[in-house]
Amino acid sequence: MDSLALAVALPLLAALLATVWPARATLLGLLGALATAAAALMVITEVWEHGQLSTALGGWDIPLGIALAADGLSAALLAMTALVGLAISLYAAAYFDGRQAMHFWPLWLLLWTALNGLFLAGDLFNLYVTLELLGLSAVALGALGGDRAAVAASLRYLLVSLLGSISYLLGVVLLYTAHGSLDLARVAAALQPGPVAAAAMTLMIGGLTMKAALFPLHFWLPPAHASAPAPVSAALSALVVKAAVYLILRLWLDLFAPLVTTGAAMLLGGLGAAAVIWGSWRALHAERLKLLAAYSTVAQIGYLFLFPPLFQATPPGPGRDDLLAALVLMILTHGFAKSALFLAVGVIQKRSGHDRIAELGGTAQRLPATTFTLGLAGIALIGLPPSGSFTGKWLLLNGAFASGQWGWILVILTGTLMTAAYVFRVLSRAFNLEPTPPGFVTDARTELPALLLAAIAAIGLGLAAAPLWPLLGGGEDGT
Amino acid sequence: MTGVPLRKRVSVKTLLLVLLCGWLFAALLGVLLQFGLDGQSASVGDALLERNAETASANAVTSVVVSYRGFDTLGEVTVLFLAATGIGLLFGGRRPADGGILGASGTPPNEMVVTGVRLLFPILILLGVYVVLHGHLSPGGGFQGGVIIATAFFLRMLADPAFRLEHGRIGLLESLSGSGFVLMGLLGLTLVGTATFLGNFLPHPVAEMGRLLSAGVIPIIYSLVGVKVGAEVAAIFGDMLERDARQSADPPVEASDA
Repeated sequence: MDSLALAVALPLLAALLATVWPARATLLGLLGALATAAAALMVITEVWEHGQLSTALGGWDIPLGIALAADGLSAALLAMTALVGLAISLYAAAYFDGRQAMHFWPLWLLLWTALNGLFLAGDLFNLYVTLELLGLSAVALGALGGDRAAVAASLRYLLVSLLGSISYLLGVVLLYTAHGSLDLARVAAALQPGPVAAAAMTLMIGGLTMKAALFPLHFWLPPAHASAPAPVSAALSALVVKAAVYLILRLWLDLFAPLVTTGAAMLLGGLGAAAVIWGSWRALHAERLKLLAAYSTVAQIGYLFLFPPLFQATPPGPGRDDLLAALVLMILTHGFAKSALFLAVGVIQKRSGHDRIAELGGTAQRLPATTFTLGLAGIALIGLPPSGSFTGKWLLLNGAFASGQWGWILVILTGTLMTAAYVFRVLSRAFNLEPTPPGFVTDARTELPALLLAAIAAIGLGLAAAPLWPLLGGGEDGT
Repeated sequence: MTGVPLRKRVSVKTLLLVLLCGWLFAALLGVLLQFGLDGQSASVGDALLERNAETASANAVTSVVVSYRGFDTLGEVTVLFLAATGIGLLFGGRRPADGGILGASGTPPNEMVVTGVRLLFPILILLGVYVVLHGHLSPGGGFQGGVIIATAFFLRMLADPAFRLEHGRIGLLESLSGSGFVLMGLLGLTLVGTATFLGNFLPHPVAEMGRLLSAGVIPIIYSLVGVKVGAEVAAIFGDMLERDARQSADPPVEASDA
């Protein structure tokens, strides 16, 4: 049995059946979600056993037919999609009812089809088809809320998404004209550095950065993700944006490997760094919880783009494998954490009728489990041990140390501190029932000395420990 | 000329954006003109024509659309389905915020349109069905024929304001034909003879090439595509045209179950 084709065909079939029988859409949708997750599990176990999988559809070998292929990277993302998808499906079954459920299930299963298709596609044009499918279903889902803000944000998302796809398609056209094949592996083998390949790379990766919401092309993301219903926001932030990142990674590492230059990598890294700082800053100042989560996505996507310059500087070997593992780990952790965050915000929003951060007081007493979810997701976003993003950031920092690119370290640390600040801002609001005191310091003479001592212990001694060695060793053999 | 000064009529941001797009277009054009690679894409084209007989479809384009790259076609049909659903969501489920655009229901269609459509409707339907069914023999196929059929119904809607498409039935047609496509693919996957998704599991001897009943599953899949495309495009037309009429006839749909 061909599990690769099943992973795409089953959710599609379930989506169509849910349209045929709208009265039972929720039941059919849940069954479809289970079947899709099972198919994904089949793919993952097969990849685990054999390392690589590929199949040619319709019985036609590669230059004529279309190949589906899976390797470790696609299996990891498939697994994340299956788990997050199952959770979202369960949540949505309780969240939507009536007309909205009737529209939600087909669209959501089509979104899942597109995601699985994108992760498994081994053909450049097939990738374009899945990109379109993904974009359109994401836009339609985003407009499900039905109010004016949601529709406006979705239409803007639609335009950006179409522009990104068209740009990608132009690149595919160039590659097809030059090499006469659409198969990813074949084009990669035939690709030679030159203006055509460079133009194709710029068009394809440029279009995809738009879909991945890399700074400064992130402008569409916060309104679109913040105005969608909670389960949809979770899918958009955790999965849809990741699909574009996955494709960039796939093209960067597999297809355009002989072509990428340090300059291009530095450009992506620089934009990623700007995204980390800008996204965290805006999240820190967001007034609504969903907007905070959306800006946090912008920042977390930024971290992922810090990897290309390090890939460029690290020769193939264990160091590079570590970096790739760290990148995937950060993608996965963010996928789980951000979907959890959005789903939890959905609960809060449904219970209290709003998601304004300033009025969250008492949430911890009313919804203890949800507040705990916020805390856990926050830990993963910040990267505290033992979360996955702790390991990811650790390896990222190691890579930056090893290749001597010190600038990124500063960005990572600043971003992490800002993430901690916005996560604790939400948590502190959720825990207190009273309005907070107006100022930071209430009694300067008694509070500041204590604050100073704590700051020295927590920050000062760690960073300025170097003089201790010469002091203790008589000033000779300081390290 | 209006009295508005130039700098207020042209926004600098837009101008810069236009210039940037122009520059990008020129750069791309430069690449295309300077490194135009005519004839280099022959590799797939030649292989395709050489092996076209294996599909037993006289129309090589159909071999590509339904057999070689049938998986892409499944995706494209689904994209169209999504577009129709999206338009239905945008136009159907919502009150017109600032009045209708067209007063289509206000003015009755004139005699020329009514008579012309009465003549054209059966011919268009016949042509559409012909184009769909002969997709594997002559130019055309499910996409083209489907659009012809949808156009016939569109003309009918223009000529006869009382004529409505039943949305439930259209949706059923759409999803059943789509499910049929997927099921054909899954049948190809499960049957031992092909054991591959969208494999051509029916006998398709080359000797039969050129007959109406040939090429195995290709005509079946293309007919399903024809039904699906026809239903989807007709639904899009219908949603756009009926927006006013339905809003005034039915009580407004509740939109606040968020």
